[in-house]
Order: sequence, then C-alpha cells, then structure tokens
Amino acid sequence: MIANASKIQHASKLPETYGPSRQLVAIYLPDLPVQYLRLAEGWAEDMPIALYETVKGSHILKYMSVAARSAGLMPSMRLTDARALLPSTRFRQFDLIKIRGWLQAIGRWAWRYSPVVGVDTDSLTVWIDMTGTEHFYDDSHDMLSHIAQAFHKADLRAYIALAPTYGAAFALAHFKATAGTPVVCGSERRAILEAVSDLPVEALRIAPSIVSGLMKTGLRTIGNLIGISRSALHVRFGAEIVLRRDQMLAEADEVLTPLTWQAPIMITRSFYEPLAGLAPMQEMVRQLVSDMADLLTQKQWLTRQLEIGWQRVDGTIGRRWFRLSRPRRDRLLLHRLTEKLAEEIDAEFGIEYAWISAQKLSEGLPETLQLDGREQASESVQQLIDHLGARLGNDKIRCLVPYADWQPEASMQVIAADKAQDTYNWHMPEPEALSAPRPVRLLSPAQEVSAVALLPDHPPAQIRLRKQVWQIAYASGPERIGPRWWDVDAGKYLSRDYYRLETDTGARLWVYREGLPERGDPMRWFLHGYFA
Amino acid sequence: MLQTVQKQQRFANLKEQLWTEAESHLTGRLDLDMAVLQTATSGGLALGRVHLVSGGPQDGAATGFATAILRKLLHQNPDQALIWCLPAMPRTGIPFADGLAALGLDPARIIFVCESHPLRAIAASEEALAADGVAAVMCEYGPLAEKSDLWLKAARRLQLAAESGRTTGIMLGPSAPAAGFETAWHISPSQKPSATGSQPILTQKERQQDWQPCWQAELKHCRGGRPAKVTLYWDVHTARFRAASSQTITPHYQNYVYQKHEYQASRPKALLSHLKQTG
Repeated sequence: MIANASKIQHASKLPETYGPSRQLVAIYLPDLPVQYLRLAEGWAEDMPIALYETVKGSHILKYMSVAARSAGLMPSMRLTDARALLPSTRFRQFDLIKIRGWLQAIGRWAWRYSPVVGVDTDSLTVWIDMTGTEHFYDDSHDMLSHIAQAFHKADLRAYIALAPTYGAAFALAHFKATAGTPVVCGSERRAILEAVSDLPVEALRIAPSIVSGLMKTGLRTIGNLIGISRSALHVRFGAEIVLRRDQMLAEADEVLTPLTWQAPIMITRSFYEPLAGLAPMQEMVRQLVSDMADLLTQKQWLTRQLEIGWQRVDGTIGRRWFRLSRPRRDRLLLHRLTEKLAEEIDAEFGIEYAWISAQKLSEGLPETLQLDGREQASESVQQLIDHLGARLGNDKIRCLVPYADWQPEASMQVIAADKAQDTYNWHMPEPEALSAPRPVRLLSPAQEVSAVALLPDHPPAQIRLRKQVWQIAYASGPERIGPRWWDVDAGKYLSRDYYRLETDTGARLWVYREGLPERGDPMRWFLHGYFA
Repeated sequence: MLQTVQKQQRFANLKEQLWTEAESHLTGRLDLDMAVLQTATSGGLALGRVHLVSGGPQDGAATGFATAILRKLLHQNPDQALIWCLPAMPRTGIPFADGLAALGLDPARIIFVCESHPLRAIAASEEALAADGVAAVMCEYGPLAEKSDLWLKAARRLQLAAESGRTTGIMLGPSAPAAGFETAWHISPSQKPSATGSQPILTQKERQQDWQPCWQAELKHCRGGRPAKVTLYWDVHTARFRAASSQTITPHYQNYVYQKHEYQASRPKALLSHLKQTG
C-alpha cells in the first residue's frame, strides 16, 4: 500500500515531456570482432571464426561468426567443446585492446555526424549524441538511413536505434532493431515506455546475477518493472537496476564519456633567406626542438612522436620522424634524439621553411624530482633505449617475451623494446622444482650433424658438425617434444627426441633426433644448443 | 638573499652526501665466493670496469660464466636493467631465455641490442656503459678482436665509459688480447667427476646437482692481481661459485643418464630380452 502511494506521488511530479530532449543514436555491431579479424587475416567470408577469452584459466567462446553460430557454436561454450564440434573453425584469443581500437576507429568516423561520440567496448556499441544537429538533416530517418547505408557498404551488420536516452537507444539497438532498419523512439516518456516495455530485462545493462534474480521472480520484461517503486526494487535488487531504469526513462542523468582526440601541435618557421650548411641546419633543428619542448611544457602535454620537416627552395619536402618509447617532453632528451639530424639534411640550394610537429600527445603533469636531483633508474634506462633506438633503429633494441609453446625455438619471442607493453614474468626455476634442462645458447636454425649411435633409438656415441668431431662420454634423455597437434600443417614436422650430451672434454650439447625410429620415419640428427 | 645562497649550499651538500652514500657500493668489488679467486683478483671483481670473458666457439661455458656474473651484478642493483649487445644472428647461437632462467637470470631484465656491425655494437655498449640506471653491460664482440688497433681502441674507450658511468662491462667472445681490460678470463667446459656409483634411484637433490654447470676458469690477466686457474661450479639456487673439490655428493648418472655401455642394460625391454637369453 505504501509502495503504491509513493509511486503515484512520484509519477504526479513528473512532467510528460522534458524540455529540450536529447537525441542519442546507439549502433550495435555484433559482427565487428570477427569481421575485422577476417579482413585482417584474409580469410574467406564463410569461414567459421570464433574468439575466446580466458576466464579463471579456461577458454570460453565470446564472439563468433555467423557460419560458426549456425554450426552450433555459442557464446560461453568451452573452447575444447567448440573445437570438437567444428574442427575447421579458426579460433583466436579475444583481444580487448584491439577491439576497442576498431570501435574507436568507427567512433572517429562517426565524428562526421556529431562532435560527441563514444564507444562501449563490452557491448560492441558506438553511440552518437545527435542533440542539436537535427537541422543538418531533413529528418532523423534520413540521417539514420545514411548511417545504416554506410555500414551496409562496409558489409558490417549494424543495429541502429535513436532515442532520447542512451539507455533506451542501447536497449532498442540490441533487442529491437533489425540489421539495416533503424528504430526511432519519440521523445515523450510515453513513447519511450511503449518502445521498451516489451524488451527483456537484459536490455537494462545490469549484471547477469541481477537478471537471473529478476527471472526467478517472474519479472521478464522492462514493462514488468515499470510499475514497481524505486525503494522496493532497491531493497530487492540493489541500486544499479534503479539507476539504469531511471536513466532509460530520462529520470536520472547519465554521464557518457565521449572520445577525445588531441590534434598534433606544430611549430613552423620560415626563413628570410634560404638556409644551407651544417651550422645553420644545427641551429634550425635546435631552435625548433627547443620551441617544441617549451610549448609542450607550457601546455602540459607529452609526446610519443616528433616529426621534423623542411622545404627546400625548389619546393621539395623532406621529413624525419623520431619515436619515443614512452611519452616525454624533456628538452635534453629531445635534443639528444635530434642531434644527428642536421648532418642528414640535404639542403641542396637552401631551406626556406621548416616545421616540427609533436604527435601522439597525451596529458602529463609536471613530475616530482627525486630529492637527490636525479631521475629514477627506469627513467634513465628509457632514455638510453630511446637514444640507442634513434641511433641504430628502434627494431634493433629488443626484449624477450615468453610464449606458451613447448617447441624450444618458439618458447620465446623477440620483440622490439618500444613495443613491449609491460614487463613480462618468466617462470624462474624454484629451488626444489625439477625442470627440464635447457641450454643457454640456442642454435637457430638447428644445425644438422652426422651421428653414430649404437642402435637407432640410442643416444649418439659420436657426432660430427662439419669438421668438428665430438666423442660423447655421457648422454641423458631422451626428452620427447612432439609437434603442435593443433597446427593445420602439423604433419610437416616430426617428433623430436632431445638428448643432453657431454663430450669427453666436458662441453655439453643439446641434440635431437628427428623422427621416431619405431614408426620408421627417416631419422636425422640436429645440434640445437650449447649448455652452460 | 644570503639565506637563499646558504640554503642552496646546504642542499648541494645534502645531495652530495646522498650520492656518495648511494654509490659507495658501486666502486667496490664483486665477491667471487671462492678464496682462490678472491686472492687472485685481490678482493673480487672490480666494479665499474670492463672485463673480458673468452671461450670456445662451440660451447656455452663462457656464456654461462658471464651470465652468472651478470646475475650477481643484478643482485646488487635489483631495480636496474641489463644491456646485452650481440649480432643479429650470432654464430654461437642466440641466448636462450629458458636457459638463462635456468642459471637464475631473469630474461625479462635484459634489453638486447641486436647490432651486426661490430663498431656500432661497440659504440652502443659505450653509450650503455656511460648511462645511468644500468646494472651491467654485456657485449659480444665476435671477430672484432682480430684487428688489433681497433681492439685496443675499443678496450680503452669502453674502460673510460665504464668508469664515467660506474657500470660494469663484460666483453664476451673468442680469445682476444687482454691489454686494456681490468681482468681477462678464459672459460672452458670441464668434465664432471666420472660416474662411479650405480644407485638405481636418484634423490631430487642429486639430480639437481648434476645440472649444475661446471667450468674451468682461467684468470689470464688481472690488474693488480695474479693469474689463477680453477675448476668451479655455479650453484644456481644460492647464486654462488663453488670449488669443484667441495662437491660433496658424487653425481650419479643412473636411471636418466646412460653411460654408453650401460645404456642397453637399463632399458626394460632390453633387460627382458637379456633375461630370456640367459634363461
């Protein structure tokens, strides 16, 4: 009774329409991850593709292509089950950062419709705040069909909805719209209610546990929730559902974070007379870099890439980029990075115009210095990496990243140090753990040796690599390392039996025999590494 | 005004104090754990200098020894990085991360500079030696040492850079002239004591002991020290060198290490047929 009374009181307070209403477009792109992956990998259109994520150590499917779905693959299915069901499927690990990048690219494209655009990576949704841009189009349908057509051209299924709140637009895009035909919802409260009342409660963007709770109590659609008072909902299901319901019906504000983009900043300098010769070039570069460092400090920005360009009197242009391993603005570092540039500039008849531009900007507040006036150790190492990278080429500064593969040559990846996202943890052997011995130096590729063994499945008694002959005193093993059975072309590789050999001089070698003698494979011996 | 000057002076003094405190251990020496090496190097491996570690082209002993030294150096400066300059495709093989980890050196701490041009590699090492925040620099010089004039110049330049940056450098490669370096080592693999015991099952401890690398280290040249030759083990778990003679447990090779003539007998199938034949 009390709940009922409060509802009536509350409803009487609400006006039927709310001032100038907002216009939000939600675009739901269910195929985006698989479609982009397909394009990136160049797979055929009807190829079954599935993306999985790791949840508590097990691989669970997250997104899949239409072909995979029609073959019976479902979200939250185990990877092993899916593999058994449809072995021809291409499986890939779900990469949140990549998918966010793709969505953001679509968001940037959507800037043509409105300056306020955002993405919601978890639900593969791009939203556009169209408030105040209606006058650019004859009517909202016209604009929406324009968007729909663009996605149709890109061969991407898009579910589009326009509503006065993001909650409603989201719900309609995900649960009511059909691909290619946008849904429009009027701005009155009644119109929103009508549009969403028959949608399931999942459309409220609430946690799955709350959804299952609602299902148990028989509240299946949003319409069922409308008549229930806030306090009753709050007591039973928590604050989230109340807030989401209010946001959908425009009774509570929703703060959305739009995409932002920092345009590169540029400083240009034109010269009264064309410059030529080493000293003027050096002065030119020095001044440009100093000005840029000042500007960055003043605006509190950090840069990850500098571009210095110059225009000669005949109109030809030269430019050079400097990459930084992390966002920086130190004057000293920028000067060190660019100190060799002046020698590389070919001025020909002179340079009349030069510019410097700082790209990939991010905000950075002034840093606190150490009490002893020096930088952190990691900071100076980063500077060293930048410096060596600028001198030798960024791809020559590398670090090792572990990779889960039992093939020795694939168990580590060598990647450029500036691409390494974070520090990686290597499994360090524990004092009491037994781990298979691994050599300190690995020959890549393995060298074929000729071996003398007592029997085909014995360790060798003598091996020879070109002119070098080793007499073997001890051998241990074998450790069998098989090919990756999940590889499509696994048949090309043979099983390997690894032996650790100690020669009569004490040198310790890691050799393997390719092929299984019991299977009658052709056997070859390879030297693969040297132990410490 | 006067106050400001005094304050600045006081700050400068404080900074100076902090610096000397922080760097007092950098100018010291690295403990080599063994009495014979400690006396030969007059107190340990000098820090902030460049050391030459040479070895044969077809074994990993020199790399192993250098890795052990790197691990000790990293232990002294745990928050710093290691720089390892090497050719893009070294003939002696690439450093293998699991193997480095097996010697106790965390591969994630190493930054590799893969430069095939020997002079550019030396220049990069020089930069790294002079920089702050680097625990040690390893450089594989390959065939550069064959050109004596270049080699002498490189040795001198690296030594100066190491002194200015207070970073320890290790040059790794084939046998090379030792002039200009603080110490010069030649590391060759050493054969283990022969397997005499024939116990059927090895304890975990014994099995680990067997994987301990064993090297013959020859200290050919040491500034302010004298040459020495010693056979040593690298104990992975305590990160210490140990003399080979102090090895208490004789390693056994039975069960997983087959001696040539024993191999057949230890295989169950062969054993079975042997039994059949004998009755």
